[in-house]
Amino acid sequence: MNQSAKSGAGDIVIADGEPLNLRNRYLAAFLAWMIPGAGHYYQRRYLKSALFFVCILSSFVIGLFVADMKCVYASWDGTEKRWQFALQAGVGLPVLPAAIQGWRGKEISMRRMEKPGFMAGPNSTRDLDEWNFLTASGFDMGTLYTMIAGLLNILVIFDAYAGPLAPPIAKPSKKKPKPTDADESPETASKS
Amino acid sequence: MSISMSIEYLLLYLPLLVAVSFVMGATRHEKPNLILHQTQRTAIWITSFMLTIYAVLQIVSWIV
Repeated sequence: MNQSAKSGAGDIVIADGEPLNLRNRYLAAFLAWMIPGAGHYYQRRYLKSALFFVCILSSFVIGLFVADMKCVYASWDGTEKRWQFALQAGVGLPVLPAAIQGWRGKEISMRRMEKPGFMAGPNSTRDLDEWNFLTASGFDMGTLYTMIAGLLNILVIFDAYAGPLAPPIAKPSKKKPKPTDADESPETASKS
Repeated sequence: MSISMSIEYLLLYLPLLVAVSFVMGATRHEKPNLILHQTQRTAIWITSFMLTIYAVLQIVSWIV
């Protein structure tokens, strides 16, 4: 596990055997949530910043396009309880329009007999059926892509806050280590 | 009976595999060569897992 220490310049952790300055880790985690990779950019970890930005946002955008821009919305009423939005919200600012549309409610578009706007939830189950029909399985696939993008960004937020996760522990070798000269001290030799 | 799957579905698997593998690799290391190594391992692990599931489903579809 990473060792951590506080210094005047920020929080220092040991990652891959070298010290890593996380600067203000709380701010970095918040920035990482707002825009994937922004927290790492703030910490001057530019390669990882670019990697996270491209990987997570491309997954999110691909998901949106596959679902014809309809798979990200906040809705918690009789039409649909959209629990998937909680995972999609991990991406941060890109889902802000959906949060605003969900907060505004659907009364406005229903009153005007309009079709739901950008990142707005369906007005009725009929709209939902239509979206599923028109995009074939793209609606489900897009939902999956955007959910995974949100989940991946949670890992990224943790990385910005605490440094790299510990890699999986390797299985211990079955071979017994050969005894060294130091092990065969006079005390152990006399007992045997 | 065999499991039929369109090639478009398989193409959708690739960007997700790349994104997940890179993020998993980069959240475990700082050095680029270690990130790439972990990415490769993750991609192989995910693909092996998916192929195993596919094989099980294929065998079940033959039996049923």
